[in-house]
Amino acid sequence: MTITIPWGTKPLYQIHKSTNSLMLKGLVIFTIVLSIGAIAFVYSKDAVVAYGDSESHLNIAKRVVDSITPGASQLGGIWLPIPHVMMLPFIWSDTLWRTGLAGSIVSAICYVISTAFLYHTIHHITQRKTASIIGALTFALNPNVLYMQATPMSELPLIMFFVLSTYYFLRYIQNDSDHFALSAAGLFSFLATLSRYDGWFLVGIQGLIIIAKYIRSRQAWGKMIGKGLYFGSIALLGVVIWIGWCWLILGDPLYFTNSEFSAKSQQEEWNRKGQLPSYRNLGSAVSYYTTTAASNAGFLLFLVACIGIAMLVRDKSINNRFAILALLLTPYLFYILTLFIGQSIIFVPHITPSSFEWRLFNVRYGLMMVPCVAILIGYMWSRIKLIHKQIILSLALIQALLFLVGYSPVLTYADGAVGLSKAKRPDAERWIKENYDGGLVLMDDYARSISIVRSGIPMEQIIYIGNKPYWEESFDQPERHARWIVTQKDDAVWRNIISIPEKEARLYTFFQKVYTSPDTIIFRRQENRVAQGIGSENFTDTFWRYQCIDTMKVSRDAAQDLLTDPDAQAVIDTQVSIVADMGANCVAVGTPYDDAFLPVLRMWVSSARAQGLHVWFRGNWSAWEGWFGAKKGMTTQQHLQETRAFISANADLFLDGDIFTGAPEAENGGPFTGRSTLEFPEYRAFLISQEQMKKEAFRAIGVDVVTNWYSQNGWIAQNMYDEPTLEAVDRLVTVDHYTPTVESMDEYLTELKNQKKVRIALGEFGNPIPDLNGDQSPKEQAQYLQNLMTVFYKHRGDIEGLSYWTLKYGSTAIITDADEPKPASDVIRNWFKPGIVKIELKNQFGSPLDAKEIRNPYDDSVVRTDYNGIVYMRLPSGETSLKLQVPRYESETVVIAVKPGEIVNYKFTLKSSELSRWERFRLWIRTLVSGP
Amino acid sequence: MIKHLANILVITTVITCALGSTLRGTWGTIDYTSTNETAPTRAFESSHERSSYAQMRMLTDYGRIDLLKEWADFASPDTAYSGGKYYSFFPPGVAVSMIPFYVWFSQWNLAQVGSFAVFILYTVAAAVCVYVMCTAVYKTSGFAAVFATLTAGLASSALSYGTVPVQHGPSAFFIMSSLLAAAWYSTKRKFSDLGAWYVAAIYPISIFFDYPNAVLLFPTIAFVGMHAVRIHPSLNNIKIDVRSGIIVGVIFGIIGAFAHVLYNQAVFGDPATVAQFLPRYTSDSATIIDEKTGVSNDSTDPFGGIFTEYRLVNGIYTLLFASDKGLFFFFPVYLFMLIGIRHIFTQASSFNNTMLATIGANLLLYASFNDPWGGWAYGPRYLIPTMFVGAVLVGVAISKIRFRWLMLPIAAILYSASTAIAFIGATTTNVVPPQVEADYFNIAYGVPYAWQFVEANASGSFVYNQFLANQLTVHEWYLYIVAVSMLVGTTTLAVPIFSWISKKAYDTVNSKSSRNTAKIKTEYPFASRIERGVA
Repeated sequence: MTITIPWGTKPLYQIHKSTNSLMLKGLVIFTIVLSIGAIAFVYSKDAVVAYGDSESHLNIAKRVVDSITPGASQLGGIWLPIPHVMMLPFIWSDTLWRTGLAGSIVSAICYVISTAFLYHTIHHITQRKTASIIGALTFALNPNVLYMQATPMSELPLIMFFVLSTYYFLRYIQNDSDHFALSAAGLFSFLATLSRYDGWFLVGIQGLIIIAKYIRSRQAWGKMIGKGLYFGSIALLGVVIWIGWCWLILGDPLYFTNSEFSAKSQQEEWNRKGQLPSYRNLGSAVSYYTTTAASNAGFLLFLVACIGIAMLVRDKSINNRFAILALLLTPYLFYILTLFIGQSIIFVPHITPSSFEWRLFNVRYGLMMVPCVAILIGYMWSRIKLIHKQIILSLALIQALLFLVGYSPVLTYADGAVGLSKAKRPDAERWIKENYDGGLVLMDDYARSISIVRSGIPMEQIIYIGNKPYWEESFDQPERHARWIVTQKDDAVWRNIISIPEKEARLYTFFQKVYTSPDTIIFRRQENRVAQGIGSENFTDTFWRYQCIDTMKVSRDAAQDLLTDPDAQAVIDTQVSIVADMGANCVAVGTPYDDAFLPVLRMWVSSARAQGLHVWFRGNWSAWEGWFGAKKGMTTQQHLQETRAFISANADLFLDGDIFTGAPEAENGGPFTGRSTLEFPEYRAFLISQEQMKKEAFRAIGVDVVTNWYSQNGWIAQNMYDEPTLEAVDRLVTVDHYTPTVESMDEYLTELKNQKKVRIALGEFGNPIPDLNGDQSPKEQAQYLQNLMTVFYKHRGDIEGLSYWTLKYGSTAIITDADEPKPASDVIRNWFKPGIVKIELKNQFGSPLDAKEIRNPYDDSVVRTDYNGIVYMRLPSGETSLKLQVPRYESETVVIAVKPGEIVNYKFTLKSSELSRWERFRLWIRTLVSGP
Repeated sequence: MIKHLANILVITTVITCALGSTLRGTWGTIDYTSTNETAPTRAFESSHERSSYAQMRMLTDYGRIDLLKEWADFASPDTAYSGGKYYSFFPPGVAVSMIPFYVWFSQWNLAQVGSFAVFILYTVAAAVCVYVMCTAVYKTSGFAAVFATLTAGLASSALSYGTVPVQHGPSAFFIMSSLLAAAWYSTKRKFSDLGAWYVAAIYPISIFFDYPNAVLLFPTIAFVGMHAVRIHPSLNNIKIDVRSGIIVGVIFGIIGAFAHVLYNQAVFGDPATVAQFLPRYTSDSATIIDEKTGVSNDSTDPFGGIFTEYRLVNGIYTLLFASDKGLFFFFPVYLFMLIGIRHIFTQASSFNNTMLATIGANLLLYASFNDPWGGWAYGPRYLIPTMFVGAVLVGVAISKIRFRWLMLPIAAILYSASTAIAFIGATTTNVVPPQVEADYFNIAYGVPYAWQFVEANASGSFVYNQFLANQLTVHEWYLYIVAVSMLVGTTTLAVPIFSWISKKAYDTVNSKSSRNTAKIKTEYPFASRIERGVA
């Protein structure tokens, strides 16, 4: 039975009569289509960035253009740079970076060129078009090659340079007068040496072939030296460049092998585990690499290629066949050597013991043998009978079937899917993708705690080891740059922060742990903590630790009336609530300690507790100064005894953080009344005795009360203290001081601080004191007070606390007799309840202005914007005028309204005063697009 | 022709006697209560035998394919479970082929022995195919063909598995007979279409015996396909010549495939479901030893799966070289197969390729299997088809080899060693642990494990236990049958050696070259036609 099928005038039959160029064009078009299809398929399976290394390659390239510290130095010193440099034209796009397609495009181009030049290479060896096509297709249709050409890995760039270099080198060894071929071979070898370290070995083999070519004839030795030097000067330039780079940038010419990130260091770890099977074991090295190469090429086709080697060795019709073989087997020799000396590692499931921690790793190294297999099969095709061609075709079909049904794994993909090369997908990655809201992220990219491309974090927001000085500074002050910290056990961040107790303490001061999993911890910076930290060492919410308002005019002077007043509690509550409303955190109470006034004192204390205020017990025994008709003449000894008894008997009055002063302005009573204040020794002894007694007494009742606030007038404070007394009071000097001018207060504080090297508590301050300040209208009082507070703000680093004297009654009162607030009360409130202002500076192109100085109008101090152009300032509430003066930008004065206890955001755009031509062009384009 | 018939008669007799002497079993009809027979060396020492036997009993005694609970327990763990029913883990071919002999021999109270004896027929038939292929296709000398046949029958795992209800004997027969039929078809002689019909018919039938036969017979199917269709491209059209006889073969194939679909639908309720896809049932009774290797088939193992390339390297080592299972370790005479492979490889023909592809498919399939050891088994039982195809190549090697004066004595020694090893298992037990498990249990494995039973005077042989146990120890009996087998094989090889010596003497006397006259030629017009057909 015969069936006849007509097939037109341009049958496939005529294909083999096509020209070389037509065949090649067809092949290139076919591989382009194949490549795009493979990329689309791999992309649809979310496997473009399946390898951890593939993301690293993308990130390296991305950092060159987008990083806190962009530039060529981001190319690093471990992986060779060419594959990353090749990605640069595409890596600009965030989409291409995050999807991995920036790398896929590079690999795909390399794949197409490799296939085309495999065709050329086989044709050069065999002079057969069909054989060349068969060989090229063996490479092009290999599923491992198709997968890897869809990824951002560096194998395809190396294969391309390897094939190109081999092609031109073969042309040269066939015709040594072909200088172009030698130059081109050198150039592509040069590029190969900067793609992967395999390239270095290739150059070595090529050098040996040049030597072998001429060495037999003594007359040709000069040629050997000349050609060898010419070739070497081009090809080895890459090696020299790389060593020089490592030396200059990283300080070690052999950084790529000595660094903790090098393959060698990693292999040492495997060796310690006893899982480096090929180290110093040639048989194992051969079997591991042979198995890996065979599985990559397809076992059946690899078998055919092995027969091809035997044929080539015996085929005397091929000139320089041993040189060809040496070139083709370069990857094989290289990997066996590196496995043997422990520089590389392969785990392939076929032979890796199941007891090993991992059984699949680095199998992509076998891919380097696929071009060799392709060339050998192409060569065989040109030399064998039809029946053998049928066998090869059958085996190829069976191999394809085995790949299709999953019997033969696509090993390179499997490594990325389930092997050790697989990129981790920790839950933390998902979490941060959902919760990241801007700010720098400190992480050890080498440990791959999370995937940057998948996390949605912009690359310029990452701080990793290559971002100097941000990386190092973040270990000293984690809060300085980073808003987020991602760490996993034993990574660099963990080792440098969490495992160091004092740094860990600092971390927890500024950061909150927001995510925890068995693998990963994520911290988020607490912005208010950071803002509070500016200019203050104790990170409290206020400028001063203690912000008090004195109630002496009511709590002491009216104490007797309050004893009999049925509304005493209400009166007291009113006073205390006004104090609390003004942002004070403590109320100074002057009620005497005598038993008779104890009920009133308790009322003040209970009212303060209700308002959440600390109490500064600033009373005294009536007999000390003769209050309320008490007889004067109390001795220091009596004072000490009665005070101790008072503390012991009234333990319930006190809370941690309260202040207790037994005898404020002691110079006004007791044995010191009417005596020369120059008799300081007794005064000092009383101070020291008081301090010892109070510490013991409060320790006895188990309450942590501040005891070293001893109010004196300014002159005594300046002249009385000697070193032992200062040591006794922990170098805190409390002054009740009034000055005629603001400037004189400034001078006094500066002098006291410099003279005594002490911290200061302002036990009393206020205005107007008529004798000193004259009469002041309420507004004048407020303005003077504002200026006075500015002085205290300027000295805030030295002032432990302050107490405004007094709330009500008297010339300095800040509320009227009817409890109405005077303007000065607003001043107190503004300073006692500061707010935080977050200022973000950008230029007119939207770029953050980092490291720019902003001057604090209150104390003329300077703060710098961070990388995002952001600065936090804690300022008194109310409106504040800020002058934004940035070099090369037009200065601007802005008014900001600071709200008590809140963070307010301000974004300012400064116009550049010195636009470059490029900036003017950008601005012009911007104006065109979005209008002026 | 008479010489060949005589040869066939001799080898048939020898192999049948050898297999018969090791046939396992006892009087009567064994059922699930006969727990004595599940002990090592006994007829039902392996669940493989129990499962097929149980299936046969269900078909014979109850007219049903699924197993009663008691029989399911008996067959466990080679039992599948689905929809409240139990099934044998194996396709029904083996069980069905036991039925006639089970019924026939029951009249002599030998139902079980008879049901096992049917597998001797398959093995002997496969061995005869070896002889025919050697002489008819490869034009080997008669002595080489006899030696190849004896190798297949007496110096391979076929000896151990030729007397028990497992698929290997039938599969070997189907493969060998199909290859012969395919070779016949390629000659295009009169009635050669029958070859294609046979192959097409036997293909689905063989799958009823063992599913992997679909792969093992595929090279033969492809060979027939290639010879059924010829494509002649020209400038304007393409002519396709199709041999009309193949159409009948295709019809047979379709009917066979349809039979499978019907069977699966009827039994399992789904045309694509087979017992081996169903969950395995394990008896609650702990008295039955699970002789499976326990190799992980865990679906969470990323390198798992029933057949996968990941196991290929270790699998090839296990099947060919390992001391617990390796072909060349157990049966070193098969080293001559490598010489035969080299010979036919250099004389490329599509039939030779088919032979190599059959061996390749067998080796690659089971080297990739998650249990290349074949569970607790004696020798590489999965390679039994390869041992038959390979025996042909041993014959080719013996026939074509150089340095006969050296190589033939080596062949005799290797054959003797292989026969001695083969009979240890056949005489005692097939349930031998692989090294991986033996090491775990700290017991012997491979040949030493089986030898322990010889020394313990334990044998499952019906002939020995019923008729000779009082006269001979197992040791003595083993020595006698091995000696006879060795004698037959070595005598076969002695023929060309003596021939070579006499020719040498003659040549010396007549001053002629010994190289040309040493060859023994046997003309077969049949063979030359095959070559033409192949070309």
